[in-house]
Order: sequence, then structure tokens, then C-alpha cells
Amino acid sequence: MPDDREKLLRIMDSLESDYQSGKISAEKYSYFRSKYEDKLNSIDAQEATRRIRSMQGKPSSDTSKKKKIKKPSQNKKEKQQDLVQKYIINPKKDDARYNKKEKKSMDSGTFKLLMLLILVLGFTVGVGYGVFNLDFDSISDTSSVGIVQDSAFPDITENVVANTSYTNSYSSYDSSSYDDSSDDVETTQDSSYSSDYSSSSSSSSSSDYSSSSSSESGSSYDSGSSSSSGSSSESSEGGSEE
Amino acid sequence: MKNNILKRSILIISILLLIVCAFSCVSAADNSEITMETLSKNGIVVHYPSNWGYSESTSNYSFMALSKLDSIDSFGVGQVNINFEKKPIEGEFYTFVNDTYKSMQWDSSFDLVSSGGLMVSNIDAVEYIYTSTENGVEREHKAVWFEKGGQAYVMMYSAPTADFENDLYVFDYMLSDIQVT
Repeated sequence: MPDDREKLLRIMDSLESDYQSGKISAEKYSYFRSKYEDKLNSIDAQEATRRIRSMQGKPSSDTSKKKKIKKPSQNKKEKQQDLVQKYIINPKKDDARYNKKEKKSMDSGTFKLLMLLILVLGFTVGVGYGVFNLDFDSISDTSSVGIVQDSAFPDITENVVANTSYTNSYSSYDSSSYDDSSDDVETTQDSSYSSDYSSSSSSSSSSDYSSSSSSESGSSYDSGSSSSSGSSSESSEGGSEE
Repeated sequence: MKNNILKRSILIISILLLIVCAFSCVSAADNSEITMETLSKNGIVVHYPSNWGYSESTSNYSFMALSKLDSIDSFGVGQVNINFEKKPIEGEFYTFVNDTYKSMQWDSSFDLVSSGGLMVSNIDAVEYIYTSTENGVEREHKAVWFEKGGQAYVMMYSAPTADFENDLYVFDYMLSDIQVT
């Protein structure tokens, strides 16, 4: 602390000599002189305070000194930063070129709105695509366009060719209008049959088939030529026996 | 700021909607061409051209039927048809099928043209082609039979004899494409 006082006194002496030699103006001289005197007074005051405290037996706290010393420097730094901010970084407050604010990132409201719009857009496009491209006709098969009358199981009207063989016991049987047990069957008689029986025309050209009713009626159906000839000979034999 | 975003978004949505509408109109115009439709019933899945349509059959054994749209007369009766029928098998399958056509031999209005064997969806099947005459109109039929689950399934294509060959390829395609599940 005494060093500071002596240093300050030397600076004041050099200031005095400079002023007298005319190196500095009177204004600067008065300005610096008052400044140095203030500092000198504050040093004297601190020294007096320290002596009083030592006379009272109280220890002098270095931390408080440090704090007292530090505080002005911190204020200075803050002041310098303010000055730099005021005159160097933002020299003209009203000039928009120097007052460009940083671009703010999108706030949550706008983001939500944008997301909602994207969702609505996606939903609309999806529904539109579905409505215009989905083939509803292929899903619903209930609506019929017409009627189908064809069937693989048709009603059969049987036109049967009948070859009747007669035995003695059936010699008196009149077979000219034989009806099968089935109502649907229309029976005709083979034209190759003996002349005693007036036969209706036969249209059947089928091979071998036998009706279940033949055994019941005692008649057998043979439409083949060989069979029919056999039956006719059989009947003729019956006739000869008769 | 928000208003600008909103306006731009609405504008973009409107433009996209217009594009979708325009695209759908073009698609609708393209749909005038024949496409393939799907019909599925009783474990049978078939694909048929869109110039055919689903019909009702008068047969008690039918479970689905198709008619060529331009063959449907003023009474709503299809002239070119494909009918799908099934019937419980009485006895052995081939005997059951043969008996059906044996009974036709009793009726002079039916005339068996040909018969043979084939495969339908990897199932042994038999086909019968025959003609029938009703009210002076001769029709030709191609029936394909196969067995599934104790039932005799039959697909039958029917058309006037003069038109029989014209659409037979549709039936043959359906046979080759049919799925039996």
C-alpha cells in the first residue's frame, strides 16, 4: 500500500513537471491531478482504517480488500463491455443493418399447424385415391346382371325304344302302349319288331341300356340290331309255339 | 407469419386435390377397357373379364353363375353363361357323372359330342361336351366335373351352338386360372 502511495506521488510529480514544461494542456493536467488526488485520498483513507483496526486489535481481512479491489475491476469490465456493445457492435441503434436479430427457430404452434396440415393432406389424398381407384363392384357380388337357365343337371324327358320279348305266359299281353314306371318316360316300340304289333317309330340310337321296369313288366329292352333280331326271333318262336 | 403458412398450405392442398381428381378422371376413362374381376364362393375362386357379370341361376344346385353382358336378352336371360354347380355324390364319382350323361341318352334333345379327362387346379376332372335343343334353339355345353369334399362340382359353359366357339376361350382361361381351396 505504501508503494502505491509513493508510486502515485511520483506520477503526480511527473505530471506537474510535464505541465510546467508545457507537454500537456491545463485541462488534462487538472483532470489527471484530480483523479490522482482522489486515488491518493482513498489510499490514505484505507491506510488510516487499517491503522485504526490494528490499534483496536482487529485483524485486517485480506478477502475484504480483495473484494474491494476486485469490485472496481469487475465494474470496469462490465462498463467496457457495455461500451463495446454500444459503440462497436451496435454503433447505430436505429440502423436496421446493424440490428439484425437472429432468426428464431419455428415455434411449436407453427410446427403443430404444419403437421396438422400434412396429416390432413395425407388423409385427403388417401381417401381420394381410395374412392377413385377402389373397385366396389368386385366387392359386392349381390347384384346380378341376368338369369342363367342352363344346368348340368337338366330335366330329362326320356324317349325310350322298347323291344319286348314275350313268352307264353305273356302272349296275351298288349304291349303297344307300354308305359314305364316313371311318369317322365315316353315309351315307343321298336320298328324291327314283328309285324303283328303295329309299332311306332323309334328315334333312339343308343347302345345298350336296360330299364328297371323291364323286369317288373316282364319285358326287356334291347335296342341293338342283333338284340332286336334276337328278340324278334324269340318272339317268332313264341308265336310258333303258340 | 402464421397466416402466410396457412395460405400456402391451403393452396398446396388445393393443387394436390386437383391433381388427384384429374388423375382419377383419367383412371376412370381407362377403366372403360376390359379388366379382370374376381368371384369367390364355396372354396372356388375364379377370375373373369369385366364384360361378364354375376347372374342368378334357376338351378337348385348352382352356387354362382356368370353371364356375358352383351348376351343378356330383353327378358334378362343370359345366352352365353358359365354356371357353377355342386351336388352330393351318390356312390362313386365317375359313376355318378357317367350316370348323368347316360340319362341324357334317353332324351333325343341331348346329343353327346365328346368326353375326356383333364386337370383342374391339380385335381382330376372330366369334361363332357354335348348339345341340347329347346324350343328349336340348339345350344352347346361344355361341362367340367371334379370332386371336392364328397361333392361333385361342375363348371358348365353354355352358349348357342353358333356362338359356342366365340367365348370358349374365356371358359378355358377360367379353367386354367381357377383356384380350388
